Amino acid sequence: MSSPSPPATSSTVSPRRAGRPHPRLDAYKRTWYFLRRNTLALFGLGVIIFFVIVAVYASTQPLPYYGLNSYCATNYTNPTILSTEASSVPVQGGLPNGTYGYTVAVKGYTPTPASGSFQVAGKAVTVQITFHPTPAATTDAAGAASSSGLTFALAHTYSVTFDEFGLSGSANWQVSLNVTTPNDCLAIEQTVCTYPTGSPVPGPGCYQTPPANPSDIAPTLNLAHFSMGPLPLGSLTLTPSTSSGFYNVYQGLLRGADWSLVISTSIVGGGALVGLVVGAVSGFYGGAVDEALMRLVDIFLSIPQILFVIVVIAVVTQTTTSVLGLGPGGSRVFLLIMAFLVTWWPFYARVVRGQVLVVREQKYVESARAAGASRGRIIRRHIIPNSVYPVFIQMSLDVGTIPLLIGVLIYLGFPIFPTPYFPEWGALSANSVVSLQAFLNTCTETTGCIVPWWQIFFPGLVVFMFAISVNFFSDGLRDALDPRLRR
Amino acid sequence: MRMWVYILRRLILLVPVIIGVMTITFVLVSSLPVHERLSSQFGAAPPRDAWLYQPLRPCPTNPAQECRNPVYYEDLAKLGLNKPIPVQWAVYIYNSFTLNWGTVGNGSTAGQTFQATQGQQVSTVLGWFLPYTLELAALSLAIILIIAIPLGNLAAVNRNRPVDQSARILSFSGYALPGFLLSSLALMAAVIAFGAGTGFFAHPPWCGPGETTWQEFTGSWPTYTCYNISAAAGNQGYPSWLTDGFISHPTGFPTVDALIHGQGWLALDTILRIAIPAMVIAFASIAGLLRFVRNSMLEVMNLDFVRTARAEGIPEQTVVKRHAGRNSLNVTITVLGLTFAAFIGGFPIIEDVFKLNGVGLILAYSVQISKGGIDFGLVFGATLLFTIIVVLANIIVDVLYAYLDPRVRLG
Repeated sequence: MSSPSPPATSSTVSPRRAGRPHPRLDAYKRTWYFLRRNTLALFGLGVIIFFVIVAVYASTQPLPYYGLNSYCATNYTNPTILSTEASSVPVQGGLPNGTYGYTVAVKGYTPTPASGSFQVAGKAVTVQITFHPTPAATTDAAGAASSSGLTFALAHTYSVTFDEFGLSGSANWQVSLNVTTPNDCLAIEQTVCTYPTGSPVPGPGCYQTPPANPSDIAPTLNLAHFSMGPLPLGSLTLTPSTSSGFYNVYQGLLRGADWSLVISTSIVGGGALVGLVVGAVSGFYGGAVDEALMRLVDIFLSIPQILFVIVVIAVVTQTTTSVLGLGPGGSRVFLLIMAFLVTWWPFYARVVRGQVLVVREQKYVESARAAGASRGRIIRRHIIPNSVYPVFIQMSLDVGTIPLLIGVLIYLGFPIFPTPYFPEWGALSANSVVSLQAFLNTCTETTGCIVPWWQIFFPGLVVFMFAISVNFFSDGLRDALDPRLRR
Repeated sequence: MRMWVYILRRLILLVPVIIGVMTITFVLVSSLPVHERLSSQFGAAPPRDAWLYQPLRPCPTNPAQECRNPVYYEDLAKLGLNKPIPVQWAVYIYNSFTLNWGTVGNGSTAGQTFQATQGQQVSTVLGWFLPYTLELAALSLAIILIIAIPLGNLAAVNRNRPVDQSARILSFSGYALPGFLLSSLALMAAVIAFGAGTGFFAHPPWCGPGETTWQEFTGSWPTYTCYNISAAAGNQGYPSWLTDGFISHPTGFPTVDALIHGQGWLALDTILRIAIPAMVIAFASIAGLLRFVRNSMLEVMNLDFVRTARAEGIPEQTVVKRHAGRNSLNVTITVLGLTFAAFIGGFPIIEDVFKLNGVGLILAYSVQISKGGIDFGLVFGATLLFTIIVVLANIIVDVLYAYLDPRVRLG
């Protein structure tokens, strides 16, 4: 096995033989030596490693991939029976004595007993019915399997009074219980338990609601809840009609580690691969090939990136919903990665070409050519290994910006993801800011404002830490690799 | 090579790049369904009749059979879609060069939000919104310049000392914070600070009770008669020279127009409204320039003439300012040019948060599917416009670079 080309400072190149260290090893050691002295770079490296560990841990967790579990706030005092309705024409003068059957149906709850019978003997009859939250459906909006429901099941026990003069006669009673839940919790949503200020705590994982807005969840942060139960985030809770659409920020950030790292690295890695090949060919061959490829690079460089991604996704989703048989969820993500890739590779191509133009004039390339190496071999063994350092630096810089760009797209209201609560860091933070603006728009002079600070803080912090630590690390890497900048 | 020959050569090389971009957008436009193209180009609302844009529809006489849909073929002919693809391509390129970029749709989100843009030429509409963005870009660039150059020099002189490190942390924080988060927080902070702590409902001291702090810091114009604007009837409380609240006459630049019409307080108000977004933009994008200034300063500081100047006993202050600082500016100016070109592309996020009537705002609305739908005419028009701006800026910067640094050979 012949040696790779020499790194910038090592004077001799020796073939790799048994017992000898790899000739590149001293380059790595040297880089590490300079990196180690840079506190910020070390900090960045530590945070990156932490995020990678989180992503690995998250991939072992049974959380949905394409859409977070969506929660729906239901007040502890609910369901409250507003009225009972009869199913047929009222009997004038009350019910005749006898036994009557009934059934109870409440949306979002499973009553026990759901049906039964009661005896009318000239006075009102009271029946105890317990309501459990209906378990979540097994699939979410994107078709992926949903995880299990809430671990706590909050039971409400209510007395239903069957008044002999209030109900109408029929063989079987349909008792519809109208409830004052702040919203109609959909079947796909799981229910968050809330309770008003002053009430006893009904169970673990329940949230107190402020007196001013009984349908809202008080902005409290309980670290135990943050890790154990749902910390509801992400939507308006101020008006009764819009109190659904919460998600668990902990689950979101956990699963988001997977998606963010996968999407970022695949965009940047794919772009770097394409750019490396194009740049190396362009720089090495020169002439007409170079001119043609660089004009192509110019074209792609001058297209506005965000707009182009939006346009590509919009056009493709207008015509087809499933790409390469990946299903609606997977094909959206694939499309996003591809659209970013198309706008990403030209940067790398230009960087690599500039580097190749320097490298190909070096003595060791000349000697390789003199030794009769083929062009492909020279590109593979000498040009590319010596031109990749700037690409590594550029890559590590770019990885951190992808969640930011995705956040921009989501903030603009463009549906790049299959579901509204797609677990990606940028998407989560953008959604939280949109939701914050909705909160602020509902402020009134009498009730004031509720600022759900946690829903901006945690996703924002994660995106910020990811971007800044990647930047610190790559900045340190650049300083360590560039001999002109270090001392 | 002579300068004008170089410029000419670059301009000629520009043509294939622009045609290439147009070809890419042509491919994308062509792959859109016909009804989308009709709705975006002819300003019609998105079709509700499912059969209207299908080539075949049930026959009027016998619904079991299918007949040719005359409306569909008429519209195809109107758009020229019945011609061969190369002809369509040539027409597209011709239209692109003659600024005939289609019209804003009636039913799209952008058209519904800004009623006056409905059915207007895309290039005209972009021209209405561009001056707002230009003012914002100029102000934020000025802030960046004022901060980045001294701070970059300071960081380079005090390399790896606390000053350098904190400058680095500060600039990277701006870069790493998502723009929507940063601008929302800045807006909230401004509202709370100027509302004297009472939040969104107190009016700022320079306005009457009609206008709240929240309204004062969002939007390009005050909506209430805060500055004794003589409101024309039917113009939503705006002065008569401000059509529909965003088409400003005669120049289009809000501050300049307010001054022309003798309303100094209104001009001040427009500047106040872009001041906070400009600071946000400056904070968010200062990292790149700061790094450039620092690195070019570091390189210049190692050069021989700086050492000579030091050896001559010139005070360190003068060496840094006069000798090294001036010579490191060449790179800075070129980066500034490219930054400005990127800024002209608008700030969709920041203009959306602060509701400033810039190109970014109309773009943010044009891609929204919520209320009406995407305005493809506007999106493709903006793509072309920004491409041309970026390419031209590249040429200008290259020429400027060669002009500033005589060592650079044109070629």
